[in-house]
Amino acid sequence: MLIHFDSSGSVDALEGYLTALEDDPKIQGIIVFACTDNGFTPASLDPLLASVNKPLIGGVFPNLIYRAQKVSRGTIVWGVARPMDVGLVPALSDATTDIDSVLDRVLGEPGDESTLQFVLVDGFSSRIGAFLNALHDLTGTAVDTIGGGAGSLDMVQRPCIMTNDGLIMDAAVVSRLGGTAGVGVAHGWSPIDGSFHITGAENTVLHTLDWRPAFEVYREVVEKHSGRRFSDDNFFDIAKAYPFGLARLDAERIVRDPLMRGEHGALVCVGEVNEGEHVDILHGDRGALIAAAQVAREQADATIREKPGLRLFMDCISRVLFLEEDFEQELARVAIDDLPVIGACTFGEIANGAGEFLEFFNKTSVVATLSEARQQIEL
Amino acid sequence: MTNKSAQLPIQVALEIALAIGNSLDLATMTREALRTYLRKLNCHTGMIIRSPLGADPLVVAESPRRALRHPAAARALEMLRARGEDASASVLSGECEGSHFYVMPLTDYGHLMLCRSAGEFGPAVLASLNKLNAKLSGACVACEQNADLARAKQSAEDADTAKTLFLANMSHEIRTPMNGVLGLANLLLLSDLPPREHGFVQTICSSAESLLTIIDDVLHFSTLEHGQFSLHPEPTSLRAVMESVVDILQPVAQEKDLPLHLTIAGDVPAGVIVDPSRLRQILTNLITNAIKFTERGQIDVILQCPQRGTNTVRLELLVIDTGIGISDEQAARLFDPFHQVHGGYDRSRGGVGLGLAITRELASMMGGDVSVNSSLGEGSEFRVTLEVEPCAAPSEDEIATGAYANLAGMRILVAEDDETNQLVVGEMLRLLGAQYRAVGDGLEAAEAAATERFDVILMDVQMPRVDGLAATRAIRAQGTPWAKEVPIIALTAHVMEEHRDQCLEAGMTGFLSKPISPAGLSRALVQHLPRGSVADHPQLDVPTSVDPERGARAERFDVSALAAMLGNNHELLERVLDTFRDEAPKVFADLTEALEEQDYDKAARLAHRLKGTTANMTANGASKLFARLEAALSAQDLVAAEALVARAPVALDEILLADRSG
Repeated sequence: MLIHFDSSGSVDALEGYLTALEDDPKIQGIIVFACTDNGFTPASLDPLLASVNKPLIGGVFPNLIYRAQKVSRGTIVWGVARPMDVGLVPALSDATTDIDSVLDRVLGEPGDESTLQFVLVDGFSSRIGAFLNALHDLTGTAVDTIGGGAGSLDMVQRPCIMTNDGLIMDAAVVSRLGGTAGVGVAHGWSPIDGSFHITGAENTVLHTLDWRPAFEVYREVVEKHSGRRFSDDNFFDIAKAYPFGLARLDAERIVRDPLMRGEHGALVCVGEVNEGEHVDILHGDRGALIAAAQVAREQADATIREKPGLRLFMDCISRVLFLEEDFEQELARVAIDDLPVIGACTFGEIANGAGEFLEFFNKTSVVATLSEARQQIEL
Repeated sequence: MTNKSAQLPIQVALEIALAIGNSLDLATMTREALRTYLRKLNCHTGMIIRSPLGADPLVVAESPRRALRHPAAARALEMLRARGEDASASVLSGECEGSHFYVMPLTDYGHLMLCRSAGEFGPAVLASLNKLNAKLSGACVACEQNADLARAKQSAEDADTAKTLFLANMSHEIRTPMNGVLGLANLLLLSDLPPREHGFVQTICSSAESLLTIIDDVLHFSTLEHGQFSLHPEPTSLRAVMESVVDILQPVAQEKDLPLHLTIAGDVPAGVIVDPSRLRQILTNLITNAIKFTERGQIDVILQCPQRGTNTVRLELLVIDTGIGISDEQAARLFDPFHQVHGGYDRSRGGVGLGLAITRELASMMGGDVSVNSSLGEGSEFRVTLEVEPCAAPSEDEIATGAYANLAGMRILVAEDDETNQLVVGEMLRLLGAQYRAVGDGLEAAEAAATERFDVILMDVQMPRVDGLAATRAIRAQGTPWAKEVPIIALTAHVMEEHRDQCLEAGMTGFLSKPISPAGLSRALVQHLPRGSVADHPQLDVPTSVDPERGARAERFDVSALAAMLGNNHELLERVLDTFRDEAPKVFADLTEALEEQDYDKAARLAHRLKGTTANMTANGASKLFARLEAALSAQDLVAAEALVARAPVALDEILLADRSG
């Protein structure tokens, strides 16, 4: 495994690293994390990505995690020294896309040997849940899965998924890396009110709670709890501290992040919400959130069956926004030793930690401890 | 928040409950339900299993695929198999490699298996699951029942399709021997038979024709019902169609002293794009019914145009009678197939209760509808509405005539495996003046066409070795100008539209359904042979008119009365009588021939002509006889027609053998 970091975030530097990995016979696949501030566009990147012959996937994120630091500009290039299979599901939001069939065709069932599956999705796509259901059916718990949603903080959907075909949007890519991993998932958010019955929802749009406009219900609870009032331009500033929680038995709630207000009192979330489900409104205590990152790291370390070589940390961008300067403490809970840590601040996190159903989380810390041989790492 | 943990299992149970039974497709419903079970109960593997009594469990849904790869799932299934029917009432559970597994009964259906790494289910959760599983088993049973219904429906539809195919095949199988019966009976009628035997043969012909009418009705309805029938719209003179039908049925109405009036409104376009045959069929069905069920009063046929659009017009065809009428209850089923309101099968007219059903289907195919407004005892008004495109009316000479073709000098190849049919078709061709060569299959036909040139090829479709379609393709593939152009007319008992299309696609020029009549054969040959290569028989002249009043007074032929009418010009009398002697037997021969060929229209026209001729000859008794014959032929009352034809020679002889000295 070779991992390079370019702090300039330039296409030229990326080209240099990709060329080097192309020429390295030990490297069999490439994973790229890039910051949105790099300003990569299909026009600037597509020719370069198309020139790479080895399997490549990547994503564009608001921030990257490198050497236990949050960076807002730069590119991480990860050369995978194991066989790497890649499958692409385009047009993810298109209801006519038969995700099961596409996954069958491009990826197929995994072999009997345990593998690590790394998944990147466009965080603003509307059928991420359906995609993960299909992926769970295909791979089950025999495969450790981790990943996250790409996108930019201006909340505008744009090309953010890298493949050998170029930089695209509204897609998901799956890579099977070989090797094993331990996976941990935790968020630390706690309910302050609820539960509310979802009486109207469509994909990521939450229309009504208890037959009332969702924002009306949400505002009542949040304004009372926070002592602040929603205006035309401060929604996310307040909402980043008050996500929804979907009920699960014997596990932490699955967090849904309300991203923006929709039409007719609706709320647009990161990830799907379904009619018939119940949600609580959650609130975060800084200490609990930071502790949750540690829990996730500990779960990951506890479940890896081989000697660890790398920590992959997919942490929600809204935790960054909520914790602000305290986010460094969260990183410190994951980067506790000399094991290298790389990752990204994501729009939604993906994991099937501890033998659970493969799920799309929000505002959550997902840590995977990988069995990569450390002597191959060049940071 | 103290009640939160207690509420959670209830919330989760509610959410799972809402995900159960959202589809009647078993695979979809169980997949969605199982995914919700797994997500909400924090399980990693699950299966819905159908457990038939005494049989191995059957996996209906599983997540992930090949769920049995997980050791806990494999262990659970093993336990289920081992417990057999004992597992139908209680929950089986255990632990395997860090996962707890549960096999829970789905009453009357099977089992739900769940595996999780997040610890055991508590008692409250298991109690909730009991209720959820009852809903899931009910939903699974409903899906299975729905699938059974769908299979039964498909089976019924398949059977219906098979019925159509059976009818088509039956039609073919009946029509083929019927061709032999009718063809040879027709030929027999042309021979010099004693009157008694002549009558027998005529009865054979009329009975066979009646049978074919019934077969055609059933087949026609079946093809309509299954959408295997298509219309052939063309520029059509509405007046010509309406008048021709009314003219034909007028004598039938007169038999019952029923005035039959046709009114065509002034704003009805002269021509429209419509299938004239099917319009004629609709009109014939309705007027025939009106006559049949009216004993006194009158029948009015009205065509009007209540609405004109930019490109189309709405036509309204009304057939109004003063007959026995029908009740509202009867009216509701009037257009149902095989339904006969007035009880029973009318042997004098034939039919099996399909006329109005066919009428409705035809009207529907033509973009229209048919309805009835009736009062019991007061009469009925049938209303057909059609949406059609107006056009210029076709000219008169575009309307086909019924004259026979003169095929003198023509060489015709007949490819037909049935020897009887070979004889029938061959003799008909000989009758029309042609020479023919008969071959027994498509291979011989192709070989004959490779060595000889024919003016036309009559090709049976179903033949041994090489069928007519393949033979046609082979002939066309010879590539010579003759082989590309020679008319090849299909002779087949198949009457389905798709068979017609197959013939045309194979390269055939035309299509002639069996049984084949000399008139039909003649028309087909005239249609497909190059214009000018076939001459029609000349039409007979109509004798000069005479005083009808005088003729009306005398029942028997009175030559002196005729002479008197001609001014006692004996030379003229001789010429008139000679002309009658030359032509009347010929016309009568044509009439009997037309009757033998089941060309009742032509026979009726010839009877009409003889009615006028004999009236002009002042032979009023003969004229009345031919008038009745005309009416009987128009109504296809073959029993009456046969009796009248038998009496006709005597009536004609009265004139032919009259003492000219007067």
